[in-house]
Amino acid sequence: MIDNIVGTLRAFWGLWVMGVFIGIVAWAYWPKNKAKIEAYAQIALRNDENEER
Amino acid sequence: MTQATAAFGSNQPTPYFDDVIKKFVLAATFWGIVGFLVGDFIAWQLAFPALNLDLEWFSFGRVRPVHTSAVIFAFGGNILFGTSLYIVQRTCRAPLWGGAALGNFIFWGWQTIIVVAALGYVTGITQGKEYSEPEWYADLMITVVWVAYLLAFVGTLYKRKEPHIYVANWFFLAMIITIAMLHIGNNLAVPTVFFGGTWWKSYEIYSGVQDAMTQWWYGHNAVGFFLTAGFLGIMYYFVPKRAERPVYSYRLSIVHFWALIFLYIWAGPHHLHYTALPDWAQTLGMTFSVMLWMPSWGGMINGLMTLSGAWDKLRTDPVMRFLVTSVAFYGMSTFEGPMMSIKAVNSLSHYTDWGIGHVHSGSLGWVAFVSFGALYYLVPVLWQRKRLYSMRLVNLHFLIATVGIVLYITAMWISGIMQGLMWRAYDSLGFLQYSFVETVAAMHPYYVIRATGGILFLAGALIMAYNFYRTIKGDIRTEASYEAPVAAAARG
Repeated sequence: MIDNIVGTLRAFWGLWVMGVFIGIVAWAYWPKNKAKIEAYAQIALRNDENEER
Repeated sequence: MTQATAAFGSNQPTPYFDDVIKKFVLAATFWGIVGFLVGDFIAWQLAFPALNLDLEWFSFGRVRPVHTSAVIFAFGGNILFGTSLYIVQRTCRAPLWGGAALGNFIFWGWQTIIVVAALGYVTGITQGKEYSEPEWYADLMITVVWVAYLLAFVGTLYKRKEPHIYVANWFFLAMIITIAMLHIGNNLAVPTVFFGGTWWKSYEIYSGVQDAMTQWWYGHNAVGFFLTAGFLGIMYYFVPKRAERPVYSYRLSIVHFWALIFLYIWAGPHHLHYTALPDWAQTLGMTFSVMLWMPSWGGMINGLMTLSGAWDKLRTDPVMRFLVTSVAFYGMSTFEGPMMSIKAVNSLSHYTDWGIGHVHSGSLGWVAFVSFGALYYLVPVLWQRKRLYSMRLVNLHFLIATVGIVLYITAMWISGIMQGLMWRAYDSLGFLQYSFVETVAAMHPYYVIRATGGILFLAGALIMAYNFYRTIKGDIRTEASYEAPVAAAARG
């Protein structure tokens, strides 16, 4: 039973990997997520003890 | 003051483990110079074979892996360890997991591996697999140090005070995990001692085309994950840092990351066009290589556009010149690569100097330049100096090294395409027009130009080392500033 499911999924791996990727793109570019995601870019700039060098 | 700094007390300069990062920075500078020097030496050997000195230890075949390992794993490796452990601590706002002890274990372990591997190469101990030459005992040492590195990195991520994991760390983590997988997969070898041989020679469990495919699955992904993903991590931290503005599009960085990860692993077969590898596998490798153009340029656009609105920094900051030029070279070589992977193009370019030119436009232009940018950023920060000893010397380094790269890659393009055309030229009777040695003779002037470019690149690195020495000593050179006094005053 499990073998069957795994076997079927493996045969279509190209499709579901593509699906995962499309999901990632949709999530990243979903208009509602824009502000939250773009704010992450500040992490690199927000520290640090070495400002202005 | 961040929470982490506050918690640490005011005596320490930072809450982070920076001493080991300093060691990585110094080691990278040292091994970089060694690697460039050895590379230029073998470039002169190709132009003047007498430089083999009739000694086996100096023959091209033994010294070349010393060059490739020194620049990729010694220079590039120390850069990646140093920058990734610096970045992961800061973007997670957490000190290094395992502390100084684990950091030092990684550092000294890696330096030992470099020396052990190089001693093997010159004495003729090698697996004979490109970029994977170390024999089984050195491979085991690499595995131990790499797992320690994984633990230090993931441990720091786990302890982070910043809820989100910054994009640079994804690239580093992808690099660490994939290199572990590639290293083990490509080094499943057994010493011949069990079959009446010696401890010093091993053979791979695969044979024939399976061995070739495993080797280039490793080889191309060493380029894709060690020299690309890892150094993109460097770009995603130091370009925004130096430009003092956030990365152009964080959403693009997410898409670009996953596209790169999904696609890169399939590109290896383009190293085996027109070989015993089945045709479908060759076409698969070609197709994925061409598709890789997209995520690669996604990264380039993200890096370059981070400068939008701050392009004046190119005029006022020579360190920014290194970083931006490196991203431009990344864009150029990731356009050239997919093009060369197309079978029809590959039938001309493969086995010629064009490949060498392509690799060096990527490694000198992208990998080394982004590393120089990061090093110039790190040295004053780590040693707590006000600024570098001399910005003028940074610019001199930039100019000399750029001219060196241009000489190198143009010479190799011309020589490579000429070589490819000569190999396939037929006369009116259908015989090959040129003997092999005629193609070698025709390449001589280009070999001299290439080796001259190499000298310039090496000279630039020596200037950098001198600049670091004076910076660490605490000197500041009296020199005209790049910034107009007004701008400097406005900045405070």
